[in-house]
Amino acid sequence: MTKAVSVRGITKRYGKFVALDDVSLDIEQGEFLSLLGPSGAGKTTILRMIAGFDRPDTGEIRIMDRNIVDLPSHKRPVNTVFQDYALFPHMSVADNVAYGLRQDRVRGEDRRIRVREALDMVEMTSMAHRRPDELSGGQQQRVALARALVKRPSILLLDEPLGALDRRLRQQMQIELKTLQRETGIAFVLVTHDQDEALAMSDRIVVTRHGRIEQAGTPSDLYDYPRTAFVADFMGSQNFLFGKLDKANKALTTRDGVTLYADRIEDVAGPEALAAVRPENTIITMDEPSPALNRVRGRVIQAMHMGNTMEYVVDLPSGAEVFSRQSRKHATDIPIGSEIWLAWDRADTAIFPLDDEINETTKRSHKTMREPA
Amino acid sequence: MSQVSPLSRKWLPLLPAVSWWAFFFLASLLAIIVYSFGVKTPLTALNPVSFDDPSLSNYREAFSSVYIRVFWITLKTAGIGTIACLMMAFPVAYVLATRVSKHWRSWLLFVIIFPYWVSFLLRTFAWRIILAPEGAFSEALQGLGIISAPLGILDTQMAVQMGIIYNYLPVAILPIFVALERIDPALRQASADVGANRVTTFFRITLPLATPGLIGAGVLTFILAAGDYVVPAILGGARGLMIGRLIALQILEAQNLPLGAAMAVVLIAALLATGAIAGLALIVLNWLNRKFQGASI
Amino acid sequence: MQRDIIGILLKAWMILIIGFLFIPILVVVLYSFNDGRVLFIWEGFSTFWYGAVFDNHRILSALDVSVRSALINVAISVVLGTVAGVAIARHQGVWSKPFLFLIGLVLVTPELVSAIGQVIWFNQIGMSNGVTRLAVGHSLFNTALVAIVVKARAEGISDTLEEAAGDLGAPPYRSFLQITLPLMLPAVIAGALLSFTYSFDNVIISLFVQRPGASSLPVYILSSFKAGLRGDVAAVVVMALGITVILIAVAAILLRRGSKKVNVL
Repeated sequence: MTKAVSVRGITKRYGKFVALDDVSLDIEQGEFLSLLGPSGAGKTTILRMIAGFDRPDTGEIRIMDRNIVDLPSHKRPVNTVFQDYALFPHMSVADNVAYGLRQDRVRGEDRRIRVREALDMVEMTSMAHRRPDELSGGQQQRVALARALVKRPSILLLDEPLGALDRRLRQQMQIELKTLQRETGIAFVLVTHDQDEALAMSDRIVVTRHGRIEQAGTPSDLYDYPRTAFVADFMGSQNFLFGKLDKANKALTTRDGVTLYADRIEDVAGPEALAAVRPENTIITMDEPSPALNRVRGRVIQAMHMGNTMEYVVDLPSGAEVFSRQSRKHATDIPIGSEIWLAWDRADTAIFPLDDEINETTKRSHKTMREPA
Repeated sequence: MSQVSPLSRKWLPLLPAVSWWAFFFLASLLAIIVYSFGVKTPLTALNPVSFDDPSLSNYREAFSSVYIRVFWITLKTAGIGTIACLMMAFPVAYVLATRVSKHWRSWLLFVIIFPYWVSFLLRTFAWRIILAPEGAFSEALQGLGIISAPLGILDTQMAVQMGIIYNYLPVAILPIFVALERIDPALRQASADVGANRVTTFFRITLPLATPGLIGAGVLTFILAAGDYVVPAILGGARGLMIGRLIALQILEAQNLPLGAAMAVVLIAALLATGAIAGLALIVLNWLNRKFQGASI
Repeated sequence: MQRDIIGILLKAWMILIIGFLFIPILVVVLYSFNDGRVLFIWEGFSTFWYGAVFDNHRILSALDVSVRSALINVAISVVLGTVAGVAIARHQGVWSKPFLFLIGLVLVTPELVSAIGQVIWFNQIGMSNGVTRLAVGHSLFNTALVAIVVKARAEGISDTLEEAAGDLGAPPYRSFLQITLPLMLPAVIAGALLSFTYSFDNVIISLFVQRPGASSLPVYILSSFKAGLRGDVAAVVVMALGITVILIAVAAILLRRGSKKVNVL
């Protein structure tokens, strides 16, 4: 099947800063794809190049199998929902939605019907005569959506569209966006730095970092099988323990001298690596756990109430810290200062190569922390 | 056929304005400098100015004692006018920025700027009516016994000074207001919160942060005042001289363009020199201030 | 208690200053209705001098010169200033700083100095039409003024609006006409008004660059003052003031209604 968008080897430099470094990426028709990454990772640049606001230095972008790199934005079959919505302040909601049709010379009754349909779709028909500054953030968001969708683009680009909304509204809009995407069958490309948002809505997620694609896959792939410490860390919280690697036994010996076993080892080059486990996969016990499990001894130094869970910070003898999340349904709260065992399954353990930006979780974890020489 | 990328043509819309200024404005500034080295020819000559023998004679004349005296009077009048404007303007700008509600603020600002929209001539003429020796104000003062003879301010340097202050006061208020309004009110509250009294807060927080606005207002007022022609022409009579009048006299009546041009160059130089001295004073002041603050640590 | 006293004193000072700024203007308005031969000696109320204005050919001809040159000046400065102001607000480049410096230079150069330069240069290049000389002379300052006003407004309008227009299929010229220009209109109108009043009231540039027989109104007033101040001059100044006030009011109403009209659509 023809790809909705096919990006081949695009590179973009701003002076010495490399915004995109030889990025290739396919977007299927009717797919909900998220570009996820921290700010400056290049995700917005990719979006702006598909939209036609920026031009790659090298490489090719094909939309429905047609090279569009030289096409100005107003000739591309792509529409965008902007981060600040970019509604025209001097036009009513209806005129905003009609604007794109007017450019295509859609006239009279035809235009009226399509504007009406688009507004119905986002449930904004009753506000058709208002001006953007009379709408709430969520309503402006819907108008921006209607304005882009009324053109029936083959791809809809969304640049952090929910960033300005409060949490409750954001969750509601996530559901609506997802529903809308399924109903229209249009490929949605969402740029976001919020992993929860990406996980909730996407068919596929592309994680970008330093202008490159770090990993691409379904939400479950990325969450369950991250290939690098960076992706593991970005997709929900993660504990990292530094240690010496025993590749043959899929084992890592921490600075506390404890050996941890993992079912999964990613491509590690050096003799040292990071073992990772998610806080929700650990359990805290007072009694010594089974040796079949990975286990460490430590002291609870902090406890945080998170509603239905408790989050504990456990101090290991080496100074490393491990976060542990315990459901309050099954466990009693543990007092600060308790000496406890932390245990987790091998299947929940992964071993990653070292990473410049990912450190062992410690009291000084924001500083670069390496094994003392 | 080479297609220039649209990115590299983003300066294109500036081109018309820049060309306009280059041909009419920059060229005319250049013309002043060129003419200032020329020589005025007899009225019968084809060209009013000769460049056959470029000389510094115009500058020699511009620096003769008569002109130097008027230059000095001009700088003094503009300087006193600037300081008076700043002193009168600051409290007004302060009230507007800190003690007035948003709604009132925009109205009051409009009211204060409004006189500046009114014809400069009208505003200056007004003082001839007010200060007229036979006028109502003069008679009222005499009736009250405040003065014993009719008002004699008109056609003196004092009238010029008054006119300057009056005309440029709105110009001084605006930049100070803008600077004061930008100061986050939380800064003053924070200062009070850590125990500073109102006077300390004013001198240690508000005033230093408003300094750029004060300097801007001062420079603007000074430049406008020093180059003024209308006020001395209307209110100064024979005794109220400023350099603007002398230059106008050379160009409009004596038809001596080269001398007028040389005097204009000297005026610009004098303004730049004053600016440099003010800048230097500010640096010294800053240095002293820092030293003083260092001592309190 | 202390705060109240300081606050009251400060506000009293502000009222005093506002009075100081307005009293001279009110005095001229009042004395333009003076019946007397000598302007500053009050003889009684009359509108005599307002009638006299229209019998004075020189005033009418000066008014004609002033209006024509002011309008030409507005046309030049609004077109050049708007285009440049939008461009400088939208795109940064190596040219930005020199351009802003040039604007600054035009704005701070003492009027007297640019007036001298202009009279020399205009004579040199043989520009002899009086109205043109006035219009061009005034347009130099006003182009910078309009550019600054427009730039400030353009910076307040998110440039994603133009991207959005392009995204929805509008080519650049249409996005300028349909999106940028309507949003810039208040600034452009304000710029045009400022440009007109500057030109209409300007004395110094006009005095230097004027040609015999094509005096602008302010120059005529200045010269008639030298011949002895009469009531018709006060009357004409007050009428000019009236025109200025009406222009500002009309613009304010237009702008307000303009925004409401969009609202109803």
